[in-house]
Amino acid sequence: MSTATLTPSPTRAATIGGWPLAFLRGVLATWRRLPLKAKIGITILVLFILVAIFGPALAPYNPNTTTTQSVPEAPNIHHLFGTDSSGGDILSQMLTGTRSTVIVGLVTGVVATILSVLVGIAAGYLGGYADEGLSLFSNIVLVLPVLPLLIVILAYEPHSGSTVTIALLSALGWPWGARVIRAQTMSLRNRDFVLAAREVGEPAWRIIVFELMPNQIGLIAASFVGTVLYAILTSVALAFLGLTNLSVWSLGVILYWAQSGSAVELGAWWWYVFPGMAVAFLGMSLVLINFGLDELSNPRLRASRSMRKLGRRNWRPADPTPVILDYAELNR
Amino acid sequence: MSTASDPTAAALTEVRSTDQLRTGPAGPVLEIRGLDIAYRSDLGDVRAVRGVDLALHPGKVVGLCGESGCGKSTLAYGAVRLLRPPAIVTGGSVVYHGKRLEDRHPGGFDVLAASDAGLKELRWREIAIVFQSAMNSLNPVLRVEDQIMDGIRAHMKMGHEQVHERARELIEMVGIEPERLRAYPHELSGGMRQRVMIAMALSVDPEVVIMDEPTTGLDVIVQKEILREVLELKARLGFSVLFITHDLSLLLEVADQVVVMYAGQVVETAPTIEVRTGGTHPYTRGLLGSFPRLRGPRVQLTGIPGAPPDLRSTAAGCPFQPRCAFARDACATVDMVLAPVAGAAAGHLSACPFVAPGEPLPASAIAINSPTGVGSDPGTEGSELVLSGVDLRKDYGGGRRGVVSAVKGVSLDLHRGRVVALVGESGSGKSTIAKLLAGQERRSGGHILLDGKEIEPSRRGEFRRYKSEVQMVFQDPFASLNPLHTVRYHLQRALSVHSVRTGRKPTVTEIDRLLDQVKLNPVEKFRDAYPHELSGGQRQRVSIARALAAEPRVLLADEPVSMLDVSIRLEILDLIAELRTKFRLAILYITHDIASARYFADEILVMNRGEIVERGPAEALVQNPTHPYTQLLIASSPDPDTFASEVPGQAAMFVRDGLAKEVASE
Ligand SMILES: Nc1ncnc2c1ncn2[C@@H]1O[C@H](COP(=O)(O)OP(=O)(O)OP(=O)(O)O)[C@@H](O)[C@H]1O
Ligand code: SF4
Ligand SMILES: [Mg+2]
Repeated sequence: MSTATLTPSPTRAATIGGWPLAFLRGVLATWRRLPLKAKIGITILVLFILVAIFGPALAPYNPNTTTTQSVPEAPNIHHLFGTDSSGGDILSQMLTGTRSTVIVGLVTGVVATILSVLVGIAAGYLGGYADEGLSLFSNIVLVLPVLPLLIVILAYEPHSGSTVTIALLSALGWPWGARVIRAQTMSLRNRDFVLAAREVGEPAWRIIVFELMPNQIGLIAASFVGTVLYAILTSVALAFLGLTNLSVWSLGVILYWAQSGSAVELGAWWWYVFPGMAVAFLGMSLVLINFGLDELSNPRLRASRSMRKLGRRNWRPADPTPVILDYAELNR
Repeated sequence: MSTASDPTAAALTEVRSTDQLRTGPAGPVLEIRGLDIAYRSDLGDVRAVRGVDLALHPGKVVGLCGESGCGKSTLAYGAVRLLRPPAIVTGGSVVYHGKRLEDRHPGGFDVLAASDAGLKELRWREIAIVFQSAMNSLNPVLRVEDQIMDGIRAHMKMGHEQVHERARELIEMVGIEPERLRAYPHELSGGMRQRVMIAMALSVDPEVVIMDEPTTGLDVIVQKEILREVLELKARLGFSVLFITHDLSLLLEVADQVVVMYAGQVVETAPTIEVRTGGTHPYTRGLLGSFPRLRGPRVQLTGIPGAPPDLRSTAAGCPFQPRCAFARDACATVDMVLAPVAGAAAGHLSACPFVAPGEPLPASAIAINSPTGVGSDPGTEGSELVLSGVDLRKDYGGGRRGVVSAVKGVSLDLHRGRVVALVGESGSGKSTIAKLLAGQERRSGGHILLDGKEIEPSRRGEFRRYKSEVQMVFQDPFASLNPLHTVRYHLQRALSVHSVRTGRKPTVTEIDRLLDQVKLNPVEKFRDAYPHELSGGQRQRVSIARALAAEPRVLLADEPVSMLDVSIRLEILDLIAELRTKFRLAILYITHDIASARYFADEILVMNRGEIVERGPAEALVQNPTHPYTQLLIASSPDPDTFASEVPGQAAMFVRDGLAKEVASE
């Protein structure tokens, strides 16, 4: 007894000293469980985030450098992705510009998701007038034509920076997630374990934070990924139209210069194909993550699609029950 | 099973020969021998069916029963090769001897060797299947008529008029007016939907019908009607039925031969009469001892302690040993072989070599369940009234769709140390009353009195205080615990919410004390478990422990055992009975099963369509029901004792018919 009181208990010591390790192990275990699609998507996204962080430092040229030349230069050993018509290095522009595109996407994703969780859970859990008011509000925002509206607003202040873009995209981007979360909350609200928590006497905020939200993590994550995708695509579109601060590089801004510099007419495909592909890959990574999340929360989706190898052959899900009387063959 | 083949085969031949005397030269129409089925999984193969023999004779009903997960569905679907690939048939044979296939397959149709096309024909034309919870599988956007007609068209070449005619014929056959053919599934009751599924199964005139839990989830009265119809149709059309259920008492009314499965194996098979008089295998006897009876003395039931084994294990010996009251050392090495029971009728086989029919239970087994509170109505004398509902009303809806009155003026009193049972069918308003009394829902009218003082539980300030007096246990133990929280979290929260009043801090000691109260021992094993790691019975114990954390005086138990296996129900009811004595709890026990109300409660209230139609002391009410609805309810409840000497089913059905008319004309 006395020794036990003097020395910290071994299990406790292990948990304190080892929590980063345990956390890492947890992350690894989760990673292993992820469907292939999600793994591919996450890998691509992480690459983009790394570029967003280190890209500006890695850029071989100053993206704003101009030379005296007046024709775009095709990809060559000095300029891997070619140059624009004033000699700016496309690769450097992309390495620099990815940061702002990714930031707009992620920050909008976070802000809009917080809004949708707040509105969705409040409407779904409280019900009644609160629900009707909030739902009406979300539906109004939902049917606003986002792109035209943004164009009209940004046209007043055409060269405002990404903060304005983020604010506007967040303000318009939350209702989709809020609707889904509201529906899920309403179905969870009447589940027995929520009633049971009320029965225990738990206050409403605890029920929302500890009972409802953890059960919606998948949905919240999906809504976040969807919002990031929407923010990236919309911000690229807006920049392409010149409705942003054109002195800050982003993937959309490169496309804007390509378009205004008549890249297509000049046959300078590298000017729009490389940044365009970057946007496409970024979008694809998010779509893949969303598909992956879907499969994760719905294992049937995973099982029913796959073939299974039993014994010597592959079996489709629709096949009759395999008959393999030879146990040795089965375990081969 | 190879060592088993000799005595089993001999006995099976014997069955067949006695059968030949009755039904002519025909052998079994479906013959399963030594069937092994496994599910491949990363954690080892789940051997869900192990060396099962089963013979289905023409025009007979074979009843297959056993606890959830014992492999009943796997056996039935595997025998027609309907299971999806991680399932594998790893041994045995299945032969179908259908009249229509006789000339093409003179020796019988070998199901395990059959081609895809052969299997399709078998499943559509010869062996029809009514799936578990089939009634929920109707397509909600198609009219019933179209679904039946599609089914017929897929398997038979017929003109549109003929198909239509056949659909009418089928739907009339199962007792639904043809006008209802135009209805959508949601416009039909659960019982009607189940009948539609049966009609669809019969549409191709099969020789064998496999019914997997065809009436589970239906009320007893509807269940009885459907079973009667199935038996009548069987007599008229001459098909055979493989009837799967977890409810042995039901089989005693409908089956000719009973097959009891445990852990993937058949442990006993016998003509129904032989099981009615008690069965032989300890597991069968345990199942029979788990049903509260409607007649005879209010005896202490035995039940079956513990839980079924992991089907991945390949340990030798009898799988029932850890739960068996008769177990002895030799059981650990015994071969599981079905052998004829000495002195019993032909076709009565048991896998237990040690226990003979009628052998009394060892005294130690009876002592496990002490008769806590059973049949000892303390009366309301000297036991103070805690909670009363006076003229409670609840209306749902309103607006355009009109008002539905779920509860129409119900009054009831709950006294300390007494159990009041509220009995009724689904939709009668039982759960609504529980929710009103628990303060989970606002009532439309009436009063709730706690200690004689009127209280409004759903009001903000009152709710928590009220919860420290009145707690509720939910029906579904799989839904009432948050899957993301441990047992410790659930109990800790309940303790801490009420700690000011109870003076109990949410410490590990207190959590362990709660776990111990509900007999979750050793507590270390359960404290940090997640709900999915627990069995249904264990979860329900956690729910009860959570309710006890507030140290309430009233416990509202809404069907606390209806989602659990028969063998486990008794343990939970006994636990609640024990707690009521220990803490002098006032208990409202809500159930659809009047026999369990008789077993467990002091007073019974019978509820129908939002009203109490009859109330009285439990025993008196069950023995002398005066209201026609109560009589109907009792007549429809499966009760092994009623039919001990009669032909399956029929007696009850005649009683039922007479009463049904009275209730309908009311
Ligand atoms: N796809 C699967 N993979 C692995 N194991 C399975 C699978 N399907 C069923 N099992 C296991 O096989 C065993 C038998 O299941 P089965 O559905 O046949 O039981 P049952 O007797 O019909 O139960 P119930 O009364 O609940 O319907 C169970 O232990 C179950 O966990
Ligand atoms: S073999 Fe032993 S453990 Fe199994 S049922 Fe018989 S007595 Fe019980
Ligand atoms: Mg089943």
